[in-house]
Amino acid sequence: MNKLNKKGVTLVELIVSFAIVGVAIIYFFQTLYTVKTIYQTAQNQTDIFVAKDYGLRIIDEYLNDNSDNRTSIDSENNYFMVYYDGDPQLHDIVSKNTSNPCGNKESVIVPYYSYYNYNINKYDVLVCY
Amino acid sequence: MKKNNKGFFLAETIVVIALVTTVMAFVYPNVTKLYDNYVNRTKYYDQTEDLYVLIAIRDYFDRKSDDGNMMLYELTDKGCSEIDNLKMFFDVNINIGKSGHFYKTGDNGQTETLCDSGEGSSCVDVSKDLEESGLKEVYITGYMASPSSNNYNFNRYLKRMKKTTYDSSSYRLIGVFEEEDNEGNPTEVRYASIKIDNPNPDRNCNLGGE
Repeated sequence: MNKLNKKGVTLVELIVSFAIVGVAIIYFFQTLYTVKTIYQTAQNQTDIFVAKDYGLRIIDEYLNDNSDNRTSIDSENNYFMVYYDGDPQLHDIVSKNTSNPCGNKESVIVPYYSYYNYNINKYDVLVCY
Repeated sequence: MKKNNKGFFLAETIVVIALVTTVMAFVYPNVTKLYDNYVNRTKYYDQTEDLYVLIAIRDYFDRKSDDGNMMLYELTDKGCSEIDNLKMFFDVNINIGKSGHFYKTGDNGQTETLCDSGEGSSCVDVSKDLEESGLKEVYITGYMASPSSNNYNFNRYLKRMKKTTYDSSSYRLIGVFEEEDNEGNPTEVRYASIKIDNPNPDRNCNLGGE
């Protein structure tokens, strides 16, 4: 190969360099895409995880504060609805047949199991976040 | 290699890029492996809803059995003379039978029904509602113990269990959850564990420790 011109590089050398760098960028782009996908997935999963944990804590406290509350929820036909970014005391019991109970918010349903009076009962918690 | 005063030789540039590409070729597979480990930790280990299931199980075993004794006390009462035998995995294996009762597998291989009769003489089906939770097996081990299992995935979870405090008198309740498809084939397996306080604070010796 000829010695580099003191004032620059030849066109052939430039094209070859671009080609090699282009191949390397392909690998880097794949890694960047994977990292971005992982970040987005982690963000979504974290939001869901936090919302589930919040909803379970709220219903656990609600049921433990007053044992009569356990009979007020028809667990087969109703959700125990909780708003993640709202007042912790604000919760509602909605029918499972209600369409779009969370409005324009995202929602997740998580089962809650509790032992009381010789029975392990299941309640479905709907968390709007 | 002679260096141009105004830059690098093309050969030098190629060598550098080749080295960087080689390093990235090793890094990229490990990035996907990191993602798989992340999925395991966040999706299959210690899910919050599974922890509440174990809390309900613990509350169930805190109740008295038919003979008036606390079931959890009976399950963990191995006697001070057997302290040396409790360093490994605890031998309490509780299965969820299809009839809805808890079964304990003893040392002789025979099963024993763990029952809470409640307000009647017959055995109350307290585990029926647990069917949808996917809970299949429950283990009780010492909190400071380092249990192991022949199952590869279960063993990975057991090795990951941490001891936040030195408490040789407490126990750990470990649950194995399985989700099945319509044909009964397992689709995913989850693991969770909670710490149980010593059911007998007046015990003369500490059990479950190392």
